[in-house]
Amino acid sequence: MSYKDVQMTVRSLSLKYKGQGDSPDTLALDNINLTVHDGDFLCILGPSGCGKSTLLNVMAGLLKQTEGTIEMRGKKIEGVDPSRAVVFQTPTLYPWTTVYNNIAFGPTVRGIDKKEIQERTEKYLSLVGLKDFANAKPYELSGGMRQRVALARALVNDPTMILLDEPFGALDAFTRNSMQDLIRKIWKATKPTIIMITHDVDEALTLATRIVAMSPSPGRIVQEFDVDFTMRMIDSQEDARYTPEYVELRKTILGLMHLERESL
Amino acid sequence: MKKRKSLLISCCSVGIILGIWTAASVGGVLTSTGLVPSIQSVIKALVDLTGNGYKGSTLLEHLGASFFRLLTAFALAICTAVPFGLLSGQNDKVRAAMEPIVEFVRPLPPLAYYTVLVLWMGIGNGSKICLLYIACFTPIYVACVAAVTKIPASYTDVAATLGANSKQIFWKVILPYAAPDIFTGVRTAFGHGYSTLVAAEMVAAAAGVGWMVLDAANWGRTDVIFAGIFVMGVTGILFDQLLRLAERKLVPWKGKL
Repeated sequence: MSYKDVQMTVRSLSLKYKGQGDSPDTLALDNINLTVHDGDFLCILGPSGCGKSTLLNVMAGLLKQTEGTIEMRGKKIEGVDPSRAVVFQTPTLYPWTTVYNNIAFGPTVRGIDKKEIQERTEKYLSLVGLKDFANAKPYELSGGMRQRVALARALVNDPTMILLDEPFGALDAFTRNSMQDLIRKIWKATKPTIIMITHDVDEALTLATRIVAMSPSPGRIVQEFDVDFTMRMIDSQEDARYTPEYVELRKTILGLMHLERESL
Repeated sequence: MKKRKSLLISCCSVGIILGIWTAASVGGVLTSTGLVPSIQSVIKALVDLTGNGYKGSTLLEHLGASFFRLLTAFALAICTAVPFGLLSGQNDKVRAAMEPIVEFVRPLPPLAYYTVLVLWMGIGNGSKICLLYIACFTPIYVACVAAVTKIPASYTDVAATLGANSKQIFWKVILPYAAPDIFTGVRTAFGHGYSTLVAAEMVAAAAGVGWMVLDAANWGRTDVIFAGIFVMGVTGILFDQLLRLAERKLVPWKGKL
């Protein structure tokens, strides 16, 4: 993987939340070091409260770290930027307008040529399989469809990095599965850099090229794993979930999480 | 089915009240100027008020005088409370400056400060419109502040990550998000203003439905009082329905956020 260009570098990054009133400050992130390469599909895995969402928000530019540096292509991240798209756990679509206009939001506010907006919006509408729902209102769609709109809205800006904050956490198991297939398909087609937060070990194992395991209080990176199950699932329709390596690695990661919890 | 059933029940309850009233009127228990006037006398008063009027003005002119005051105050309140409320919702400093004033005025009974307004502005329409304006301002202002402060960060964060600047976030996210709540505030304000109307017309007015009812009380004309109350009730409902209709047309995403 070392031949790929470095896209994001996180160095000794810490973030402290100021305590309300008399309660003490909480250290949400403690000395995070991470390098993300072009085309990585990075899954940040950890239990709730391990600071993984905080880390994603820092990467997006929505939160500012207390210490350390975070750079994208050698430039310090100072705030949000359309080159880094974010999809949250709740789709946060705008109910006052159509699915089409929701997807076109980014290019519209950025003042892109009208014809190009139309082309791009239509392209991503069909990519997420919602061509027939262009004129529907977001509240007329199912949970999975809404999240697909949110995904299209993020992709339409042509981001170099896509940040996903437990995007499928609120969906039922079947919908989640088809969403995972969709995100794998998107990743395979254009190889964007994806960073995805999850607390689901299987989701991380079947999607990621690299898994970063985190532990809570304070949020730290415990271990990183390079995985290739997602490649195998793309290459040969086989379900890598039933291979011995998969089962073994799953056991290791779960054991690691368990160990961390016991030591608390 | 459920809606039709509740409509049926509503019609029944109104029907029963009217039925008892009619029975008592026809049976001769109620007279035209008793504490409860007979239904015939109220209908007669309504016809008479519409045609000949009460003390120099027809019913429509009384209504017109009232609605002129109310709607002027209402429009002024919307034009000022909405921008002030939205600004206060976004800016802590503006909110800190506005809050004590609004919180002080809000629970005051309108009549308490009406006397002062009359001293300042005289007994003409000015003081009346000002009173109604204050009555209408606070509900709209409070609704706007609440709407803006409750918007989840993710709504504005998403817009920012997609490339929107703060001006675009305001017009394309915050305003439409707050619109349904603003509408609710506007409807509350109308109700509040409407109920303050009678109070506003108590002092030195020569026209207005509120004044008409109060003046009729001095002469024991319960038929006119009932007719006036009936007209006020019906126009109030009609106006609220109008606002509801506008709400459905303008902010159909209400309740879908």
